[in-house]
Amino acid sequence: MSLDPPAAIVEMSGIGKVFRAGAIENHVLTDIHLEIRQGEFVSIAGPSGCGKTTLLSLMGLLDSPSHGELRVLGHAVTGLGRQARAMVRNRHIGFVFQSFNLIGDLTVAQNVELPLTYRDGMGRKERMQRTAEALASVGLAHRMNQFPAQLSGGQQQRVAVARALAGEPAILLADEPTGNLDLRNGEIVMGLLDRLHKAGHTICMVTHDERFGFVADRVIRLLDGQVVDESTYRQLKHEAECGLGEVRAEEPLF
Amino acid sequence: MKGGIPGILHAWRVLARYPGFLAVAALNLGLGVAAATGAFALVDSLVLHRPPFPDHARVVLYGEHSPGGPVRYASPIFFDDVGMPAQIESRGIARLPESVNADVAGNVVLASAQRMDAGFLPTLGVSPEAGEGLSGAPDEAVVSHGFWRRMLHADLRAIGTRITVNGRPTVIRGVLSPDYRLFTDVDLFLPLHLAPHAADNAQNMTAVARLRPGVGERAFSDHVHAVAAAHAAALRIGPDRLPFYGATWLDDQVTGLARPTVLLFFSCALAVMAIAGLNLSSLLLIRAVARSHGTALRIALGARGWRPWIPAVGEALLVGILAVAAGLSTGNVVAHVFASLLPAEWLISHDAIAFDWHAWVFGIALALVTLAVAVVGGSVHETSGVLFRERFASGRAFGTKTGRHARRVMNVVQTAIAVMLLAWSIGVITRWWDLEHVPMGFDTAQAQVFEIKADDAQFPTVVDVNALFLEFSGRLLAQRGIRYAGMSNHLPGSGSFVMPFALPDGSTYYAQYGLATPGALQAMGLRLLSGRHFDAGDVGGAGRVAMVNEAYLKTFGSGGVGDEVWPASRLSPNAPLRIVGVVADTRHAGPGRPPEPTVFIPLAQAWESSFDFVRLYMPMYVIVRGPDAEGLSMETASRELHRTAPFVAVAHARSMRDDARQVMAGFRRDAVISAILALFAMFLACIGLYSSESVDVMSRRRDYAVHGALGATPMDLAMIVLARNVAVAMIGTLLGMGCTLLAHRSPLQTMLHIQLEVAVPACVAMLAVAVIASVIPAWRAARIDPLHAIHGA
Repeated sequence: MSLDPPAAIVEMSGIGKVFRAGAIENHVLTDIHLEIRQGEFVSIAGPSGCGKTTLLSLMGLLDSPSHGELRVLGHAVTGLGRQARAMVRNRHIGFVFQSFNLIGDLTVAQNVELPLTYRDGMGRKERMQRTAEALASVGLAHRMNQFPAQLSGGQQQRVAVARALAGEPAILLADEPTGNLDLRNGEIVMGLLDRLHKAGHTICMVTHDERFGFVADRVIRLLDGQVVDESTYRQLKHEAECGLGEVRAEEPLF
Repeated sequence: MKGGIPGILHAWRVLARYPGFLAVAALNLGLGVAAATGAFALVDSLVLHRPPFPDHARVVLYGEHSPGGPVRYASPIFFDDVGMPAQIESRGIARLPESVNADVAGNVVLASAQRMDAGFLPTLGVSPEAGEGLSGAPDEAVVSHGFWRRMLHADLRAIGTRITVNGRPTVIRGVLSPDYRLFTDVDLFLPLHLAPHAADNAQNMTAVARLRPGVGERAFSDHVHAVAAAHAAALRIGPDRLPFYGATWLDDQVTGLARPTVLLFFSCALAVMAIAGLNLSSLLLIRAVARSHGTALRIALGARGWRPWIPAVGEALLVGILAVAAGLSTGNVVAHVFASLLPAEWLISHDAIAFDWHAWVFGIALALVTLAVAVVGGSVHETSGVLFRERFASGRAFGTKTGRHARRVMNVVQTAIAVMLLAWSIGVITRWWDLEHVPMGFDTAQAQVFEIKADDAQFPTVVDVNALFLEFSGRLLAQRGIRYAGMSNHLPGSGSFVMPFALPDGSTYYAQYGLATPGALQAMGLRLLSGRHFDAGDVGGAGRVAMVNEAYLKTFGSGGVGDEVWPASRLSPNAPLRIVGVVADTRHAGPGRPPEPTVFIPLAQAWESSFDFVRLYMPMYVIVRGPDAEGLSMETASRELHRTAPFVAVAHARSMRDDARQVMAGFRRDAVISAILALFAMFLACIGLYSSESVDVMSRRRDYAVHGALGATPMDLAMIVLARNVAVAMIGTLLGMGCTLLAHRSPLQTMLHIQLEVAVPACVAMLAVAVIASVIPAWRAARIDPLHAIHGA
């Protein structure tokens, strides 16, 4: 039995992001230090425009930081080119988007298989097997030949989760996964993420809905591009019980 | 919000910011308009243009037409037999045009003359513009408007004066209208006197009849056919030729020569225009995608009626104006290129191909209709389809499967059309190229040909004509750098006169028949294989001799030099000719046809009756060969001729090289026109594939971003575009080749000459075009930022 702490999947030190429009500089993120370890469920919360999505984009290598250093699985990725970043994304990162982003003219199975088609050396048989497993894990194996338009919003988001899982990523990044869903479907999706977390997946989720923050081990609060607070589930629960938090304990979690 | 003219001007300013798009869209439509208007100018001038004769709709030509040849010809004896049935109001007959020596106030020229009876022009409805028509009296002439202007200085006082035609004083009775033209340009219209019961059965006359009002072509045609059937034995009409006897409307005869080819070109040009229209639809869709959110906002803010569509209409108008300007200018050039390649007998009037207001109206109307269909079908339709989503769901525009599939179908269709045109064009070009390299069988270098007419008034007998040519040849041989000079009615690369000769089994075979003076065959560049050429000893009193070619030996089973040739014509005595020489075959009927058996006879030994026949219908050629032969001027030749024969003209000088090249003119014309159309089609297919894929990339930026976010590399994204375009092109190519195969097996093949061997290069070329068309959209797709997956496109 090892007493070593779990390995860090994502490490950010001194990360900053500046958007420039002519002479105007907009500092979206400033001096972010952050670490997400294997098996963790981290939620990033904060008001609109605080930099949550930008932080997730940097973590997912969709964008490059203006300052600081970013490491994924211990490797520095800050200076990687587009091609290399795409390969890292494909291998180690799974995405779940707010608006699902399923390709309309592909079937459910083809959508889930999509990231695997960009992976060198993976045969069709293995891709199909993984696709079937991923869809089974979200309870949609029976829908694999349907098109996204034939599914409800919640089901589409579950397909998106299956797509993110199919590649067996080191971390699953979810950007407002319940943002386009009604309460019931939102709860179903959050239940799915919770189950995945319990099964050992590392998840980082951006949400502005703090009701769902309770499902995370750790909640990072951003304000004006800076981390202002970092709480554990225990602390949050305590705050909630004492009526200190914004989320009331009596509200249903799922 | 700007409406009306300001709105349109605003749309123009916006579109001006995208000069690349504007240029591609205008060029695309412009090329379509150019091809369509260029081909339309041909159709308008050669098919739709009515003959310039009043009330021509009741006029028919009657007689026999050879299979594959649309024009009917009749013999004098058949003309007599048909007579004046109740169906016709009037009739007339004319010989095929011939060359004559015309002396106008000392200026001797070789003119084109047509002999006709007094009923010919009146039956056509033609009366002189000045003076009177032919009265039937001998030694009178009506002159063409061109001859009157050129030779008589457009002086009306020339009417009633005399000119000399073939040595005979001839009174000018009138001048025809400048519009008159029937198959070819003619300078002089001379009287024709057929014997009351003509015995001439040669099909060398044009017979016309004016039907009575209400009489159909079919009724008279049946009568003509019945006459042919009744007199078949006397007229020596075999059962195989009988179906070709009848009557045809003059309109159809006049346009019949050009119609099949011209309509084929026009169909191809319309196919090119269709491709341009499909492309325009996709191109306008690109702009519609870019504008869709703004359009939705306009409607949301209360824009009604056509105002939301003002930018679409304005941009389409700008594209249309530029395209029409470019297309009509290019169409004019295309029409002139076409016109330069057309045979003269296709022309209905003296005017060459007219790119007049008809073509302008057609081009503008076609462009407007195409634009309207493209705007409605490609832009407004799609835009309105996504408005709901734009307004209420802030959804993704233009992602509908139907729209994408429609564009793909368009791409497949236009690719198929382009492949068909390309396959056809490669076949035509290959055929032309192959034929260009077929040896003609004679030496075309260092030789020149002049046309001359030894008319029967000045040179009544063969002896006179032979003396003329011997003396003239002697004078030409005295010129520096001339080694051979001679005369013949037969050129190895053109001209055709056949006579029957007896085969060993007693049957007859029509072989090429050439009269030649000593030195003529050497001047033609014919290679002597055995025996000797004609010499000064081959004269009337000597033993009759002949020279033949290899094809003759094979066809007639002849043993060559020393063997006999048996003429089987009623124009020649039934006496054999001894073969004294054998020459190599020449591609007399063109490089695509096998060599024909040919018999040469010394002019000095020609039979008078057969010579008169030759002289009546054929010009005679003086051929010179030597280092300076091609530099021998018309003036020098004319001067030397006039020392011998002051009233004989020399004309139409050309090198043998040009003469041989002329044989290829038709193949060259087809190759050039088909290549132009195929290039247009390929270019437009390229634009089509490019624009369709561009629409797709633009409208599905988020999808591409999702691919990127899920790990697709820029190369993966580019390959998505490339693979799709190549797949579409492959489907189109297969469809096109399938249609080409069908055409190859259909009766159209006789006109199209499709070669299936060109399938592979056509497919490869089309796939290369698909790759080229994918480059820019693929590059754009590769550059889509995966961040759009989160932030939206």
